[in-house]
This record gives sequence, C-alpha cells and structure tokens, in this order.
Amino acid sequence: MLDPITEPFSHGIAQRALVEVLVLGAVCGPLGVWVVLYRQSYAAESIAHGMLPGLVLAALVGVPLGLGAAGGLIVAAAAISLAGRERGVGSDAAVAVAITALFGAGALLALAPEVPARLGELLFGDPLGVTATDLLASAALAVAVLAALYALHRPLAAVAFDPQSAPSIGAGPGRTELALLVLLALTTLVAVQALGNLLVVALIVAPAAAALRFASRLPAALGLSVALAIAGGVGGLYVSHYLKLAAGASIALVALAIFVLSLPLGRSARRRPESRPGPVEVATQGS
Amino acid sequence: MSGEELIRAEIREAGYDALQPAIRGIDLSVVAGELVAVLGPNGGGKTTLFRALLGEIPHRRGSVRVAGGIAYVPQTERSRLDFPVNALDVVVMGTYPKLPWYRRVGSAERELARRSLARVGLAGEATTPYGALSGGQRQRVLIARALAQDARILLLDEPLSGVDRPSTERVLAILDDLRRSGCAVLIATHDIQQARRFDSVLCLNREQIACGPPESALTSEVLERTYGAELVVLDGGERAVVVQHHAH
Repeated sequence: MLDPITEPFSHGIAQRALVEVLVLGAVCGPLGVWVVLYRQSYAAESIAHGMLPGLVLAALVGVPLGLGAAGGLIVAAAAISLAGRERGVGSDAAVAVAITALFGAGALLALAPEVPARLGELLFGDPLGVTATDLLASAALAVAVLAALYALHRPLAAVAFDPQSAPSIGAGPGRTELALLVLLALTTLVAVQALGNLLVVALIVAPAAAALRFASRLPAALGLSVALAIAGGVGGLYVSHYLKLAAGASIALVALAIFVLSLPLGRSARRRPESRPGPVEVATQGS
Repeated sequence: MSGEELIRAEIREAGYDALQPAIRGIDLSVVAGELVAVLGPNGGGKTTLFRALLGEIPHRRGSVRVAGGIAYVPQTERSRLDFPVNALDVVVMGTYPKLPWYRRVGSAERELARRSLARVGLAGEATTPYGALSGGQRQRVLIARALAQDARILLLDEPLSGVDRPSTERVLAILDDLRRSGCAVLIATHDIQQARRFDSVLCLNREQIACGPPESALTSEVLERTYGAELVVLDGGERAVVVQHHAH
C-alpha cells in the first residue's frame, strides 16, 4: 500500500508537476515580495491577462504556448504605453483599457471553431500537462530571474524604501521599476503554462503578501515567501489529487487560503505615522 | 570662516523642464565646517537646488563643483514605514554606492553602519523596525545613512519638520558635531527662527534672494521677497509671521 503522502506523486506526470511547482515557488516567492512592496499587484494581474490573445493564437497556429505568451506580452506592453501617452489618461486607466481590449480579443479568438479544446488550459493552466522540455525551459527562466533579483537586490530595496533619495545612493527609480516589470513578465511566462492566464497572479501575490505580514526584515520576507509559495504549490497538488479538482485552480485556492490565514495570525499593521502638523505659524522678530 | 571650499555653485538656471526653470541665479560657496540654512517657502526650489547639487536634475545651466562625497538626507515623511527593515538595515543602505553589485553586505559595512548609528545616538535601536521609531529617531537614522556614505557634504531636506522639541535639539547637536568634523551641511527649512541658528542663510524663492550670515541676510525686505504673500508683517515691520500651508 502506498503512503498517502507519496502516493499522489507515483507517476511521471505528477512528479513533473511537483518539480514544476517547486521551481515556480522558488521564483514567484521572492519576486512576489517585490511586486507587493512596489504595489504592482495590479500590473501583475494585467500582464497575465494581456497575454491571452498571444496564447490563443499560439494554440490556433500550433506553436509553443510560451512563444505566444511572449508575443502577447510585447503587444500588451506596447498597448499600455501607447494608451498612457495620451494626455489626460492616467496609467491605471491605460492599463485597464489596453488589457480589457486584449483580453476581449483573446476571448473572441478563443471562440473560433478552429481553436483546439485547450482554452481551459490557457485560462486555468495545467501543471499535470507539463512536459520535460517545458520543465527545462521553466527552470532556465527561473534561474535567470533569480540571478537578476540577486543582482538587483540593493537598488530594489533602496527605491522601494524611498524613491526620492534612492539616486543619491546609486539606484535609479525609473530603471529599477522597469527591471522589476521585465522580471515580472518573465516570471509570468514561466508560470502561465502550469497556472494559466487567470490564476498565475495568485502564486505571485498571495504568498508574498502573507510573508510580509510575518517578516520584519527583507531576507526573512523573501525566504518565507518562497516557503509559502512552495507550500501553496505542493498543497494544491494534494488537494487536486484527493478532491479530484483541477490542479491549477487548486494551487491558486491553497495560496489564497495561506494569505487569508495570515490575516489574523500575522502581526497587525505596524505603527502608524505620527500625525503631521496642520497649518503652522512661525513667528519671528523682524530686523 | 576660512576652511576648504567644498561647494562652489553658480547655477544660472535649473529645473525639470528646459523652458520653465525651477530655480535661477544661484551663487553659492560653502566651506568645510559651515552650516547653511536654505530658507524658502514650499515650492520655492529648495529640493531642486539640492538635486542640482547632486547632479540629478535634467536641465542645468551653470557650473557646480563639489569636493568630497555628497549625501542627501530625505524628509522622513517620504520613507515607507511598512517596509521590512530595521534601523541598521537603513543605515547599511548608505554603504551601497561603494559596494560592487556582486559583493554581499559584509561585516565591514555593518560595522560602519553601527558606528554611524552610534554617532547619532541610536546605537541601542539598531534592531528596532524603522516604522516603529519616532519621527525624530527616523530623521537621525537617515542622517546616519548619509554618514555611512562617508560624505563630507550633507544635504538635509526639512530635517526638523514634524519632529518634536527634544528630537530637534538632538538633531541640532548632531549638526554641531558634523560642523566640528569638517563637514559642510545644507539644511532646507521654511522656518525663519531655525535659519537664524546656522552660520549662513540662502534665501530662495525660485531665485536666490540673498545669501550670507543670518544677521545681514535676513532683512525684512529679503523675507518679504522670499515669502511673498505668505509673509504677514506685523507691528510696523517689527514682527514677521509666515503662514505655511501644508498640502494634505
């Protein structure tokens, strides 16, 4: 009789899924901490959604999904920057308009009769469908993202702490924020196969947001976020196996449950800033 | 004062937009051991002047020469209180510019940061989360961060606003310590009373109105031109009141 802990991973398919979620946890964990600290969770969600037309086109044409996702990302980034260039359109409105349009285009494409019955996989992912080649590609991209995060750790910290003074300690806010968005896009590319277009954000944002409720220093936050992301991924695979639920959705739900549990368990908000003085009068003797 | 000249700036104009310079006509010389108040209303160009001295402004006509490292101490109200760092972590950031990207922060950097924290009297708060410190303590942590940059020139942006009286005295004592160690310090402030405590005052309202020792620079006429409509002169010019409007 197989042990209930190892039993779900007795087949090659499930073993590959396990390795995939370990890789995803290792990269989504630390990246997510920066995404949350930079308040870029909305961008994370948008980037993932904006790549849908690329994914659907890739499925239609029969090229690797990763390629379609990359193309979708480039179009999404261009659309956001074009919409944002229009005077009077705020960046959040630009993102919302560009991404909704792209998502709609993706949905229209997906309704075409020629689309293989893989739309569900595009939207919700399928970690159990990961091939050995997919795994290698994920691992390579993940290593690249982690190396970049290591190299950029100090500018990321300095800019997030105070963008105004960061240049004086050698960290440019503009290029640091851009680098973070590129890394976010790469990570989304890694994770979209397993978690799908709609769910990938869960593994980037939820474990990181939970970790930041417990950790009071960056190294602890980054480490804990990796642990929680891996817990979400592996836990999701168990839930999927025993409750016979879709694997990608199960991972997203477990990651979300971890975040919800962190709300009462994590420490409450840190001390609020002291209230600033209102209008002040400065009196002086004139000369 | 006849120390070594650390700042020599003749800025004809500087700003973010070449067509609309934020400041003009700056002629400033600061020597080692000199504390200079940069006095002016909000929006008068104090931070722009600092950025011009730091070389961070896109459009600058004129010349700026600085001798020795230059460090910027931001307003505490702008730094994030929910950021997961303790006091020592923030001070360690001051060592970043001299540390190659592939090297980790080591014991030498942490030791320098500890010494800097001790200089501002916060050796005991090294492990306190930054967000849990008082406003005055946060200001001192940021000054320690600048000290860890090993800079001889410090630019302090409104270091005394939103800081209680005991902390104000501590910050002023730290400034005296910096003066003795031969640093040049520029302190942006909108408080005329505070400006009188320093060696010189540069009055700035989009252009340099006056620059010199407080007793000769801070005349009623200079104050009126510096503060414009915000200045209310009472008692036939014997008393001047500045009403500062904070944007909320």
